[in-house]
Amino acid sequence: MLSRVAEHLYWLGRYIERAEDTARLFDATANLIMDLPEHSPVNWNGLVEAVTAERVESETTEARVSRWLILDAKNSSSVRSCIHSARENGRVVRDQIPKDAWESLNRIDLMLSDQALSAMSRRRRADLLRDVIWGCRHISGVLHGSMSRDEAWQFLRLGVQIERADMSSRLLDFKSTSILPDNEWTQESDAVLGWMAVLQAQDGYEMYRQSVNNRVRAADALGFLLSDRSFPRSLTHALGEVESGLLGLPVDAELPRVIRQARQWVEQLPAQRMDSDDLSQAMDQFQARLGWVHDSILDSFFNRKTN
Amino acid sequence: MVWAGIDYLHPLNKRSENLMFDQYPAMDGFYDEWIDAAGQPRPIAASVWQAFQALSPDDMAERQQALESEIKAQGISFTVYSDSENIDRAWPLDLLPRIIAASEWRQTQDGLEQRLRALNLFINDLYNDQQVIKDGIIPADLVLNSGNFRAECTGITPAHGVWAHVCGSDLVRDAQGQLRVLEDNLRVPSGVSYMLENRNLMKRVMPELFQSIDLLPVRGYPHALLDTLVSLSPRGQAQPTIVVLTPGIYNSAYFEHCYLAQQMGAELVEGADLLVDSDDCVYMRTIHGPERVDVIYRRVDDAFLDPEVFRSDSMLGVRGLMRAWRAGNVAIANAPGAGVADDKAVYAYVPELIRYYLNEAPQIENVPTYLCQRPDECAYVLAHLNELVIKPVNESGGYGLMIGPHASAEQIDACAQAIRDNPRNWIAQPMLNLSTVPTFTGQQVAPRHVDLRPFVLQGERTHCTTGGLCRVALVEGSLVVNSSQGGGSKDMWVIDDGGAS
Repeated sequence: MLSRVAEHLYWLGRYIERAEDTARLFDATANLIMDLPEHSPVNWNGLVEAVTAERVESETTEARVSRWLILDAKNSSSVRSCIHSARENGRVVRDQIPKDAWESLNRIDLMLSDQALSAMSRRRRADLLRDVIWGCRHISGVLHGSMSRDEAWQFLRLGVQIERADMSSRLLDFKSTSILPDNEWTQESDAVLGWMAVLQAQDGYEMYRQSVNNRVRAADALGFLLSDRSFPRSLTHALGEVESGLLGLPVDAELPRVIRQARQWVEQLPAQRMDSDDLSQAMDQFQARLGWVHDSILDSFFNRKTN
Repeated sequence: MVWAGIDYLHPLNKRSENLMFDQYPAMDGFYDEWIDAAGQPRPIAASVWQAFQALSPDDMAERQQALESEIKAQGISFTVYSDSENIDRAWPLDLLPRIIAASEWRQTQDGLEQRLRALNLFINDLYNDQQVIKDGIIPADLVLNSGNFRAECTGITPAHGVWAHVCGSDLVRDAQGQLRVLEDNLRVPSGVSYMLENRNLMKRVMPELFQSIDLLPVRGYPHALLDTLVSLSPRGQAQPTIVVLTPGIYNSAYFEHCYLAQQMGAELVEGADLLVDSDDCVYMRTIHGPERVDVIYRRVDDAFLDPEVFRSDSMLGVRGLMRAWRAGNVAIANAPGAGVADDKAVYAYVPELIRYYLNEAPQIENVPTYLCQRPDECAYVLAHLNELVIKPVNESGGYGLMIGPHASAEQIDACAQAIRDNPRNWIAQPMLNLSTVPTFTGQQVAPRHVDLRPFVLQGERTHCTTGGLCRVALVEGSLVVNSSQGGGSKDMWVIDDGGAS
């Protein structure tokens, strides 16, 4: 496999996953808001910060956030930009992926670039997000169902899993600051709603109910999303996939070891007694470790000067 | 119920007739591929004619629409360069196919393969003994001073003596109904992927027609190309490493480079992915380190191929590639220097080259061409400037061309002066009455002019596509078929007529 091609596949995986996760996070947040009392002081800035990793100073509104995070081409983290970047990477490696996956990617890209930036109703926004999520899932399905388990597959999966781990940790970080300021969670039932939204954003509500035979509790939900071994969107599961995804690829032993350590570290986090600050700090640390893994992958495989 | 639905949709089972076809006006002085001079469908086109006539205008519009949305959804595109932007445009395809009888096509294929065999013997001769010049068949200065003659290639005989492995020849049909070669493209001809995609699209949108009409398939091309490339491998192993070398994503034919690499299971590489090591072998940079490359199907022009030998500012090529090729460690298709034979002045000599090298009569004719280098032909050209198309020999892409009937008196005077100053720099051809094919304009079915680019392969064996890429000038009366200038395309149907070859 050409180094350049491997790199495009890696980024293709990352961008598809990021687009889907961002759409999912937005959708779940918007759902949650409809359950909250009217005029609740909603922390939209927190959502923008979770997705873009940039601090937002100015006061913002639902309409502006919708536009910025979903459709605005000027925001390189918007759903539209992610899909467009996925398409550009996909176009270069079109010969490596099944035709149906390319067509699906192309369709979502066309659909998003046809959308007007202004005045998006809540209903239209919900439909649009649903279309994006379904489209991304269709691509994943085609790739899973039709792609040979060769090196191209490995790099695509590495990209998907690293992005998934990254977005999941951002989601938990966002939850720790919460969409409402802490003191607004006046009722236990509201807090439960918040965790249900997080589980839904991870498409994990049903799986959580299967695995935890109890009412939704914050500590259980956190434990589930951090380190449930069988849930494919938990942090430890994603890390396990990254580790196994490296099998057979020419890397030195350091990289799998660091990934293993990170996984053990997540498993040992005390989910039952973490407060918001603990969680926020833990997720910052997690992202630093993940960043090191990403840099190592870049160095090992894509750096043209070294091979 | 399901079967009833299909029956209902089958155009042949519909009663209503589409008046657009009754009103179809064939053009005086042009050959129409579907109907004869009396306005009746030609025998080979009769069943297709009926099938389309049975579609209502709404149905036709709906299917044309379906074609276009399918093209967009599949991302079948070509790139147009404008000021500073590269625009990725949807590929234009007309619903109504061009039709030719298999018996006629077989003769055309034979003629094209004959032509390519002669051209390859000619190129190999030029870079070695130059017997053709010594025998006085073609003037030395005409070929040796051509910009496409690469002195760096002399003394080389590539595998099977073949230089041009992929040739795209443009065919036109004149007013008398005779197919002629307008030009041969021996450098990096493109368009074959669109030929393949056009057929896939038509199958999706007009599936009923494929049940009732005996159409020859086109999909064998990528395999034939792969066989051709495999036969060039210097190491002779069963599965050589083959790469498609592309200038990159911003090239207008990137879609095609990608498509062919995928269809052949070859690696699609850019110049920076390859390196030539001190052993004069070519390697590609993989995640496991360098891996030896045997055959390069290059879609990069000669000038950009190797900054060590040709343009030193090229970012698209591979330093040392010519060294590796000359050492016989890698095959390049088409070979560097093959373009010397697609020069316009050389074109005029192709019929003679066929006789000279193969001792055969040409099976497919040129467009009549006057070489101003020959005094009697020059006199004729000067006397008929207002009827002819005048072309400089060393230019391509239509530069410097004068169309006599559309030129002003000043332009004609200037052209006459230029020819007198340097006769050997000019050729002239009569105005071409390109044949027409019914084309759906959205409101009506109208005649539009077409050409055809079949692709011919030569390695160990020769192979010609079944049909080719049919281009159509969508603007009424226009003869310009280029997709960058308002041209579209048609699926090319070679229909089995049971005729002997």
